[in-house]
Amino acid sequence: MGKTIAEKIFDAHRVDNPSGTIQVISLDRVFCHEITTPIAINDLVSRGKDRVHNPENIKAVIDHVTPAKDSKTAEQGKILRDWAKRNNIRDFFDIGKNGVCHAIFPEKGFVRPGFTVIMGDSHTCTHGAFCAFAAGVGTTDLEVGILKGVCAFEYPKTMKVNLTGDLVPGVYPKDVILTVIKTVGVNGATNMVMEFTGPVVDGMSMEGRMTLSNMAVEAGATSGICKADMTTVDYLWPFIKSDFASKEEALAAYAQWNADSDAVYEKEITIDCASLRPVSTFGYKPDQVKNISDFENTKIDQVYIGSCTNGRIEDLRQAAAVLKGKSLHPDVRGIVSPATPEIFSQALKEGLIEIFMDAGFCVTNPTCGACLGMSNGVLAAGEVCASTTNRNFNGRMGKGGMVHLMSPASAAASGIAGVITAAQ
Amino acid sequence: MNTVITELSGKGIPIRGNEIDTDRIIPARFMKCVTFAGLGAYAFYDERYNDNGTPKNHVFDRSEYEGHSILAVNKNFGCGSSREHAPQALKDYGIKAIIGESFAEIFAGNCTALGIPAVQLSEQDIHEVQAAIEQNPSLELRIDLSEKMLQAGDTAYPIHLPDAFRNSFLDGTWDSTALLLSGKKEIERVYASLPYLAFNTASV
Repeated sequence: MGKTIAEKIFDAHRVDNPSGTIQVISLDRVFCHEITTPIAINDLVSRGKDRVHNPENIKAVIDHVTPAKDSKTAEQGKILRDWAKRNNIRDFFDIGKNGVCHAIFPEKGFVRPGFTVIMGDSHTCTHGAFCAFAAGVGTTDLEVGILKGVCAFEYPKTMKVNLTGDLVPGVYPKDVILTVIKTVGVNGATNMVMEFTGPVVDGMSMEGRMTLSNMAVEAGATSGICKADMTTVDYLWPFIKSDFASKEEALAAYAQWNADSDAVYEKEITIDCASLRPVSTFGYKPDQVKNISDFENTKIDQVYIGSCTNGRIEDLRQAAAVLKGKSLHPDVRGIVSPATPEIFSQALKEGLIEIFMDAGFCVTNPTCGACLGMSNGVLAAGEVCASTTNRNFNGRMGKGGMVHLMSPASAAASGIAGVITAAQ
Repeated sequence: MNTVITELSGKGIPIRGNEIDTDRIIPARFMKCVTFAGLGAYAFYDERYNDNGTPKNHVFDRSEYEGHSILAVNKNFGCGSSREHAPQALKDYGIKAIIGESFAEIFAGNCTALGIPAVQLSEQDIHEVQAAIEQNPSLELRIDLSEKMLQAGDTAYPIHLPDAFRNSFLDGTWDSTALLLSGKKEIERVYASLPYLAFNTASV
């Protein structure tokens, strides 16, 4: 019997099978940020176990609140910084070099096909775009991962998500994943891994695939996985070229992780993406999704472009293409947060930052920013934001605020119009 | 070394509504802490207090539910952010077990790691139990993990939780931090067998 991607990865990483279907797997990467890790660090210190399993496998970043906004967030940063130094964690990204974890870690080539990754962050599923098993965990599991390099999971069941057809212009990976969540429901993939497959995924860049995988958790999934192909190899090539004689050889090595043709799936769905039009969420649940053409005069107060979902260079290009030569509606504030310094720098070179500034946007440093209402860009009660982020929960971006999730192009178009609108 | 949990008794607190996410259980602005101690004060904060800090008469602050330890919820409870702050806040408030129609995966895993059973009842049963608690807040509840049932007053309901979680309570291995402090040799053996160890440890 054939195996899914997640089954292959689990079978290669199994350390122990202590209890029923629970499996302990070894971890190739433990990613850390300053919100959930300091509590684990303090607990390890108090247990007299201030050490790490393998400092090369641990990558850490300050991203949620940076620069620190008060004494408490400064302390969180300090705990992570001091710990990284004490434990020889070389890949620690502090202010000036830091960016949103799920954008900067892939950009540095830290995730490879077949890897297992955990982080104390639910959007860790993003890294599944590299044909990896990547899952968000709590602080206790993170602590075990730091100390022992292992984590316990249920042996994965997989939902296959076939994405067929050609996307029409104006429809982006964000529209695809929002439609998937609408179709599956917010708990439709709970206790399952989503494997995204089909010509739509094949045609997507790694940036697009990361947008897809990023929001798998909004359907309840443990991880969102894409197969490894030449797009994966091309993206990783600067980091792997000394490991392989050619890209073909790299692809052959990575393709071993791809699903077998006779793999058994728990569930399969197919979405014809040719019929998709730009969409946005309404309400407080990510599966409340409808075509933007069905919104009637929904006024917005803020546009937010950024986050681990849509703060990458392609996203900024798509938004800037809509904004070029235009200005934000006078009643709308615009905030754009390039997700990493490299993306910021590239956007500067391409003239995108100028386009955003000319349109009236505030350009912030790379940070998780407004997405979770923890640092900048918070909404006042009653305000509405057209946002490229991943959660529209009640109060997410500030108490009493309403968030509409959409693609960068749609968010830009909405900013110009002052009401929720798709790009022409 | 760990505590075996076979049954838990207490009185209930009903919180109705599907898809209650972890941002609602504990808003992100309360995540500036560096230990989990004292988070209970902020559990459901925005639903418990008005802007000026006056209480809204949320179930967590109502005298008839004071000291109760079993939370009764509906569908997909704990969805969204992986923040362990959510179950930690509930634990600090005094919650020892959660009964509900279904739970988000990361949340249920976090609860298990803290020794809080998150057990499922059918949609109809949980509605019935919530109504019974509302009618009689001092109703005694008893969750029996070995018999897989919930006793609510005179009525027994079947409960479900994944075998792996159930076993970890019954054999006392739910504290993964303690559990995984052993077994180092086996971990190293698997590491050595991985086909791509070269890039696994390569610096990039």
